[in-house]
Amino acid sequence: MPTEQSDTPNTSRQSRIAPSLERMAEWPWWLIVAILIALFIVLQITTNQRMSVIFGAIAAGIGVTIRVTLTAYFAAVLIGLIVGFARVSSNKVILNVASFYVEVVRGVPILVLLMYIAFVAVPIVAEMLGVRTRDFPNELRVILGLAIAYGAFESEIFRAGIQSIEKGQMEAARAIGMSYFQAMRYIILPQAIRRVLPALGNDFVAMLKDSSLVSVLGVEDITQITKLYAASTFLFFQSYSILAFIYLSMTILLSRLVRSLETRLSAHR
Amino acid sequence: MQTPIIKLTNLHKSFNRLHVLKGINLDIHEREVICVIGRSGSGKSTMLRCINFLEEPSEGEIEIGDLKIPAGGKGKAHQGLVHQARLLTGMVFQEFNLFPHYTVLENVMRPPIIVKGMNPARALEIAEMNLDRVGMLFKKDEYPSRISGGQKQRVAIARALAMEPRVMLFDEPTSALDPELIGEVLNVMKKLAMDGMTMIVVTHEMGFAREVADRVLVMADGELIEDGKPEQIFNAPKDPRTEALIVRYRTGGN
Repeated sequence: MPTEQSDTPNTSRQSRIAPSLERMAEWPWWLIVAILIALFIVLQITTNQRMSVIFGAIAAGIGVTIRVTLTAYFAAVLIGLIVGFARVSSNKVILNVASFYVEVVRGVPILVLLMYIAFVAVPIVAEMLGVRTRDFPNELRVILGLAIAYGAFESEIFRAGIQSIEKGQMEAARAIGMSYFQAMRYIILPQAIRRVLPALGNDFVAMLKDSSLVSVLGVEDITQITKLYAASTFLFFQSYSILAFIYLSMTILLSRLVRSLETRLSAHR
Repeated sequence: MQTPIIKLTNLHKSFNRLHVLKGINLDIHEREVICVIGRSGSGKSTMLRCINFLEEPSEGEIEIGDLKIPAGGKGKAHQGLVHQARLLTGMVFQEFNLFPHYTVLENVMRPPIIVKGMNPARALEIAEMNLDRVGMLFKKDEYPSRISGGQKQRVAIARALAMEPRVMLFDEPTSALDPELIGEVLNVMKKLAMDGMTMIVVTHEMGFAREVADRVLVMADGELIEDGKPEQIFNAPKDPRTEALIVRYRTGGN
């Protein structure tokens, strides 16, 4: 609305080409620029020998990035579901334990949490179990760290989703004779999940981006490989451009997927 | 007379400091149609919600069928009794509370499958029979968001009936409806009453109470102040508070 208002006095005074200029001002220029840059990078990768070597080297880590993202995300959703339930529990002990976890984890930077779990928590647990710390591969540790960090966020999403369902739904289910868990499973959760799907989808994309943090622990995802490659070849500009390009392609693709899933699931609402 | 199907003995309910039910004693027999009237806040909905334990009573005892459930029970045994009590009663809410993610048919068919483990073919049969009974079979594949309020309430009645309860509880079933949609719901309830269903109906529909009820209960300030045949309540109320409640209806004459 504000743009319309400021534009109106101009158009009235200007010549016939003004309307088309005005329409051009509304174009998504950022998208055009982004597409041009992407095309340029694709062209470079396909035609330029050196660029295609760099791309090949970095792309070798895509498998790790995807694996870390997927496993950590699904573990986080599982943790989030359980903790989300706990956060709406009437049992005060369960409620407090869950709240402690959520508040602590949300208040610590993910990077710090990741290092804490990898270097502090895992060794302690390993000692308790009587196994050697180095039997825990780094990839497992970072997956655990990401899952625990994101589990807190997902639990908040589930909690909000469950609490957003009208009280009458639970009452009707209970009055019919369903147990609390049957009511949750068949009545509350299906509605809650549909409502929080956009938020869950956003966090999937966010997880993909935050999976780059695992490079700090030496896990060879695309970020780590780029770091090492750039440092040894001094091709910083090319390497990091390709890295950013790969992340961007993946996140844009994912966002599209998530959005089409949402539309399909909310068809009858 | 045979033993009552529902018996409330000295039933109390308090919400923190608020004393909502102050010792209700009530016998309801099979095939009786009971209308409960009273001003809002008189405790009539709370009484109804205590019968299927959507509200836990604070004091007293509720008997349903062969179950005796004292107030303040805790633990597995109590939960089991409450579950059985809920199976004996069907509840219809003011706000319908249909499950929006299920179709009309699924709303009626899935609860017996989930709760009783009924086989789907049989559940389908029962669901279609009950949807037909309330005249909603023709909308069975619609989602609740696509039908009118009156239709929703009729589906909600079918949903409760599909659990084959012995008593139907209605909590102001027409209060959330537009005036032109009230009739269709009342007609379904009237038919149900004529079929011999035991019903407890909390309502403001005086016409319905007068025409359909075997007994009318009047509540005020958490107490049952009157209990009698509709003719007696509407023509010769004993309590001035009943008089005040029905005077508009009597002079309005609709």
